[in-house]
Amino acid sequence: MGCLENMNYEILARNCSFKEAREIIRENSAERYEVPPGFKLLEKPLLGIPPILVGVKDEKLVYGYTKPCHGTFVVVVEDLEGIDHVRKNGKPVW
Amino acid sequence: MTDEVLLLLGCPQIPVQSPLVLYVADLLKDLGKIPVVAANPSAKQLIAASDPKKHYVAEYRDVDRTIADLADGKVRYPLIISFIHNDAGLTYTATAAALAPEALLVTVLFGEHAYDIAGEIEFPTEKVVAPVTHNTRPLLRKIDEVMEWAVLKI
Repeated sequence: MGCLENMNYEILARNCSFKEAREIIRENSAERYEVPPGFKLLEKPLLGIPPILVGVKDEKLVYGYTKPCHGTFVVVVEDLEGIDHVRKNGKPVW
Repeated sequence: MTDEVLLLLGCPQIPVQSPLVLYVADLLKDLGKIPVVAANPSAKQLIAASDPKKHYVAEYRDVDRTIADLADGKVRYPLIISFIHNDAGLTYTATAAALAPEALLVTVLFGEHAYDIAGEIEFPTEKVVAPVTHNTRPLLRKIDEVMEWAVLKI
Protein backbone atom coordinates (compact mmCIF):
# COMPACT_ATOMS: atom_id res chain seq x y z
CA MET A 1 0.00 0.00 0.00
CA GLY A 2 1.11 3.58 -0.51
CA CYS A 3 0.46 6.94 -2.06
CA LEU A 4 -0.95 7.16 -5.58
CA GLU A 5 2.17 9.11 -6.61
CA ASN A 6 4.31 6.08 -5.77
CA MET A 7 2.27 3.69 -7.92
CA ASN A 8 2.14 2.99 -11.63
CA TYR A 9 -0.89 4.95 -12.75
CA GLU A 10 -2.32 6.83 -15.68
CA ILE A 11 -4.94 9.55 -15.85
CA LEU A 12 -7.87 8.56 -18.04
CA ALA A 13 -9.76 11.86 -17.67
CA ARG A 14 -9.31 15.08 -15.74
CA ASN A 15 -11.40 18.04 -14.53
CA CYS A 16 -14.62 16.04 -14.75
CA SER A 17 -17.75 16.34 -12.71
CA PHE A 18 -18.27 13.42 -10.37
CA LYS A 19 -21.16 12.11 -12.50
CA GLU A 20 -19.08 12.32 -15.69
CA ALA A 21 -16.30 10.43 -13.93
CA ARG A 22 -18.76 7.70 -12.91
CA GLU A 23 -19.73 7.17 -16.56
CA ILE A 24 -16.10 7.10 -17.68
CA ILE A 25 -15.36 4.48 -15.02
CA ARG A 26 -18.39 2.46 -16.14
CA GLU A 27 -17.34 2.58 -19.81
CA ASN A 28 -13.71 1.68 -19.12
CA SER A 29 -14.12 -1.24 -16.74
CA ALA A 30 -14.67 -4.95 -17.23
CA GLU A 31 -15.84 -5.42 -13.61
CA ARG A 32 -17.72 -2.75 -11.67
CA TYR A 33 -18.29 -2.43 -7.92
CA GLU A 34 -20.20 0.04 -5.78
CA VAL A 35 -18.48 1.15 -2.59
CA PRO A 36 -19.53 3.64 0.10
CA PRO A 37 -17.94 7.08 0.59
CA GLY A 38 -14.88 6.68 2.79
CA PHE A 39 -13.95 3.29 1.28
CA LYS A 40 -10.17 3.20 1.38
CA LEU A 41 -7.83 2.66 -1.54
CA LEU A 42 -4.10 3.30 -1.07
CA GLU A 43 -4.98 4.25 2.52
CA LYS A 44 -7.07 7.23 1.33
CA PRO A 45 -10.84 7.43 1.66
CA LEU A 46 -12.71 7.69 -1.62
CA LEU A 47 -14.77 10.81 -2.06
CA GLY A 48 -18.04 10.84 -3.87
CA ILE A 49 -21.74 11.10 -4.27
CA PRO A 50 -23.17 7.61 -3.63
CA PRO A 51 -23.08 5.24 -5.38
CA ILE A 52 -19.32 5.43 -5.87
CA LEU A 53 -18.22 3.20 -8.72
CA VAL A 54 -14.84 1.47 -8.79
CA GLY A 55 -13.87 -0.55 -11.83
CA VAL A 56 -11.35 -3.26 -12.64
CA LYS A 57 -9.86 -3.78 -16.09
CA ASP A 58 -6.78 -5.77 -17.04
CA GLU A 59 -6.03 -6.23 -13.32
CA LYS A 60 -5.91 -2.48 -12.76
CA LEU A 61 -8.22 -0.35 -10.66
CA VAL A 62 -10.25 2.43 -12.33
CA TYR A 63 -11.65 5.07 -9.99
CA GLY A 64 -12.26 8.74 -9.35
CA TYR A 65 -9.96 11.05 -7.43
CA THR A 66 -11.32 14.50 -6.51
CA LYS A 67 -9.40 17.67 -5.65
CA PRO A 68 -11.14 20.90 -4.56
CA CYS A 69 -9.81 23.13 -7.36
CA HIS A 70 -9.39 20.58 -10.13
CA GLY A 71 -12.56 18.52 -10.10
CA THR A 72 -12.49 14.77 -10.44
CA PHE A 73 -9.78 12.76 -12.21
CA VAL A 74 -10.30 9.20 -13.37
CA VAL A 75 -7.18 7.20 -12.64
CA VAL A 76 -6.08 3.71 -13.67
CA VAL A 77 -3.80 2.24 -11.04
CA GLU A 78 -1.80 -0.97 -10.70
CA ASP A 79 -2.87 -1.90 -7.18
CA LEU A 80 -3.38 -5.64 -6.71
CA GLU A 81 -4.09 -5.25 -3.00
CA GLY A 82 -6.75 -2.65 -3.82
CA ILE A 83 -8.34 -4.92 -6.44
CA ASP A 84 -8.58 -7.70 -3.86
CA HIS A 85 -10.12 -5.28 -1.34
CA VAL A 86 -12.70 -4.06 -3.87
CA ARG A 87 -13.60 -7.57 -5.02
CA LYS A 88 -14.07 -8.72 -1.43
CA ASN A 89 -15.89 -5.69 -0.05
CA GLY A 90 -17.54 -3.90 -2.97
CA LYS A 91 -21.00 -4.64 -4.32
CA PRO A 92 -20.74 -6.06 -7.87
CA VAL A 93 -22.87 -4.16 -10.39
CA TRP A 94 -23.34 -4.40 -14.15
CA MET B 1 -20.66 16.50 22.32
CA THR B 2 -18.03 19.01 21.29
CA ASP B 3 -18.70 22.74 20.87
CA GLU B 4 -16.60 22.63 17.71
CA VAL B 5 -18.35 23.35 14.42
CA LEU B 6 -16.71 22.27 11.17
CA LEU B 7 -16.54 24.76 8.30
CA LEU B 8 -15.77 22.79 5.15
CA LEU B 9 -14.26 24.97 2.43
CA GLY B 10 -14.01 24.47 -1.31
CA CYS B 11 -11.56 25.91 -3.80
CA PRO B 12 -11.11 29.61 -2.96
CA GLN B 13 -11.47 30.91 -6.52
CA ILE B 14 -14.81 32.67 -5.86
CA PRO B 15 -14.20 35.90 -3.89
CA VAL B 16 -17.21 35.65 -1.55
CA GLN B 17 -16.02 32.42 0.08
CA SER B 18 -13.43 33.87 2.48
CA PRO B 19 -15.60 36.74 3.84
CA LEU B 20 -18.53 34.34 4.24
CA VAL B 21 -16.35 31.95 6.24
CA LEU B 22 -15.19 34.75 8.55
CA TYR B 23 -18.78 36.01 8.89
CA VAL B 24 -20.04 32.55 9.86
CA ALA B 25 -17.09 32.01 12.23
CA ASP B 26 -17.93 35.31 13.96
CA LEU B 27 -21.59 34.29 14.32
CA LEU B 28 -20.57 30.93 15.75
CA LYS B 29 -18.25 32.50 18.31
CA ASP B 30 -21.06 34.85 19.42
CA LEU B 31 -23.26 31.75 19.81
CA GLY B 32 -20.65 30.06 22.03
CA LYS B 33 -19.25 27.66 19.43
CA ILE B 34 -15.69 26.98 18.25
CA PRO B 35 -15.21 27.31 14.48
CA VAL B 36 -12.80 24.79 12.92
CA VAL B 37 -11.92 25.37 9.27
CA ALA B 38 -11.10 22.41 7.00
CA ALA B 39 -9.55 23.60 3.76
CA ASN B 40 -6.88 23.04 1.18
CA PRO B 41 -3.70 25.13 1.64
CA SER B 42 -4.75 28.02 -0.62
CA ALA B 43 -8.23 28.39 0.91
CA LYS B 44 -6.71 28.20 4.39
CA GLN B 45 -4.11 30.84 3.57
CA LEU B 46 -6.75 33.32 2.42
CA ILE B 47 -8.64 32.97 5.71
CA ALA B 48 -5.52 32.94 7.87
CA ALA B 49 -4.17 36.10 6.20
CA SER B 50 -7.48 37.85 6.90
CA ASP B 51 -7.54 36.72 10.54
CA PRO B 52 -3.86 36.79 11.61
CA LYS B 53 -4.60 36.99 15.33
CA LYS B 54 -7.18 34.18 15.14
CA HIS B 55 -10.04 36.35 16.38
CA TYR B 56 -12.50 34.31 14.31
CA VAL B 57 -11.06 30.90 13.45
CA ALA B 58 -9.73 28.78 16.30
CA GLU B 59 -8.25 25.92 14.34
CA TYR B 60 -7.35 24.91 10.80
CA ARG B 61 -7.32 21.38 9.44
CA ASP B 62 -6.37 19.89 6.11
CA VAL B 63 -9.57 19.04 4.26
CA ASP B 64 -8.45 15.58 3.08
CA ARG B 65 -7.15 14.70 6.56
CA THR B 66 -10.50 15.76 7.98
CA ILE B 67 -12.41 13.52 5.58
CA ALA B 68 -10.08 10.64 6.51
CA ASP B 69 -10.63 11.32 10.23
CA LEU B 70 -14.41 11.39 9.71
CA ALA B 71 -14.11 8.05 7.87
CA ASP B 72 -12.09 6.59 10.74
CA GLY B 73 -14.43 8.01 13.42
CA LYS B 74 -11.58 10.05 14.92
CA VAL B 75 -13.52 13.32 14.79
CA ARG B 76 -17.20 14.11 15.13
CA TYR B 77 -18.96 17.45 14.75
CA PRO B 78 -22.59 18.18 15.67
CA LEU B 79 -22.79 20.85 12.96
CA ILE B 80 -21.00 21.02 9.62
CA ILE B 81 -21.27 24.11 7.41
CA SER B 82 -20.06 23.51 3.87
CA PHE B 83 -19.22 26.23 1.34
CA ILE B 84 -19.83 25.02 -2.21
CA HIS B 85 -19.46 26.58 -5.65
CA ASN B 86 -18.35 23.70 -7.87
CA ASP B 87 -18.80 20.00 -8.46
CA ALA B 88 -15.76 19.12 -6.34
CA GLY B 89 -17.28 21.01 -3.40
CA LEU B 90 -20.47 19.03 -3.87
CA THR B 91 -18.45 15.79 -3.95
CA TYR B 92 -16.58 16.60 -0.71
CA THR B 93 -19.83 17.62 0.98
CA ALA B 94 -21.71 14.49 -0.12
CA THR B 95 -18.84 12.47 1.33
CA ALA B 96 -19.00 14.34 4.65
CA ALA B 97 -22.78 13.86 4.72
CA ALA B 98 -22.36 10.10 4.28
CA LEU B 99 -19.56 9.84 6.86
CA ALA B 100 -21.28 12.00 9.50
CA PRO B 101 -25.00 11.26 9.17
CA GLU B 102 -25.58 12.38 12.76
CA ALA B 103 -24.33 15.91 12.03
CA LEU B 104 -26.64 18.76 11.12
CA LEU B 105 -25.44 19.91 7.71
CA VAL B 106 -25.83 23.45 6.37
CA THR B 107 -24.71 24.12 2.79
CA VAL B 108 -23.88 27.63 1.59
CA LEU B 109 -23.97 27.68 -2.22
CA PHE B 110 -22.66 30.59 -4.28
CA GLY B 111 -21.01 31.33 -7.61
CA GLU B 112 -22.43 31.34 -11.11
CA HIS B 113 -23.85 27.78 -10.91
CA ALA B 114 -25.20 27.93 -7.35
CA TYR B 115 -28.79 26.95 -8.25
CA ASP B 116 -27.70 24.12 -10.57
CA ILE B 117 -25.43 22.65 -7.91
CA ALA B 118 -28.13 23.08 -5.24
CA GLY B 119 -30.48 21.15 -7.51
CA GLU B 120 -28.11 18.18 -7.58
CA ILE B 121 -27.98 17.80 -3.80
CA GLU B 122 -29.58 14.53 -2.70
CA PHE B 123 -28.45 14.40 0.95
CA PRO B 124 -30.31 16.03 3.87
CA THR B 125 -29.17 19.61 4.34
CA GLU B 126 -30.40 23.15 4.93
CA LYS B 127 -29.40 25.13 1.83
CA VAL B 128 -28.49 28.81 1.67
CA VAL B 129 -28.24 29.71 -2.02
CA ALA B 130 -27.45 32.80 -4.10
CA PRO B 131 -25.58 32.92 -7.44
CA VAL B 132 -23.17 35.61 -6.29
CA THR B 133 -19.43 35.91 -6.82
CA HIS B 134 -18.46 39.29 -5.28
CA ASN B 135 -21.53 40.45 -3.35
CA THR B 136 -22.10 38.66 -0.05
CA ARG B 137 -25.23 40.65 0.84
CA PRO B 138 -27.88 38.29 -0.66
CA LEU B 139 -26.54 35.46 1.51
CA LEU B 140 -26.02 37.22 4.84
CA ARG B 141 -29.63 37.55 6.08
CA LYS B 142 -30.38 33.91 5.28
CA ILE B 143 -27.13 32.85 6.95
CA ASP B 144 -28.13 34.80 10.09
CA GLU B 145 -31.49 33.00 10.20
CA VAL B 146 -30.12 29.54 9.50
CA MET B 147 -27.18 29.78 11.90
CA GLU B 148 -29.31 30.78 14.88
CA TRP B 149 -31.70 27.93 14.14
CA ALA B 150 -28.88 25.43 13.54
CA VAL B 151 -26.98 26.25 16.74
CA LEU B 152 -30.19 25.99 18.79
CA LYS B 153 -30.89 22.60 17.24
CA ILE B 154 -27.54 20.94 18.08
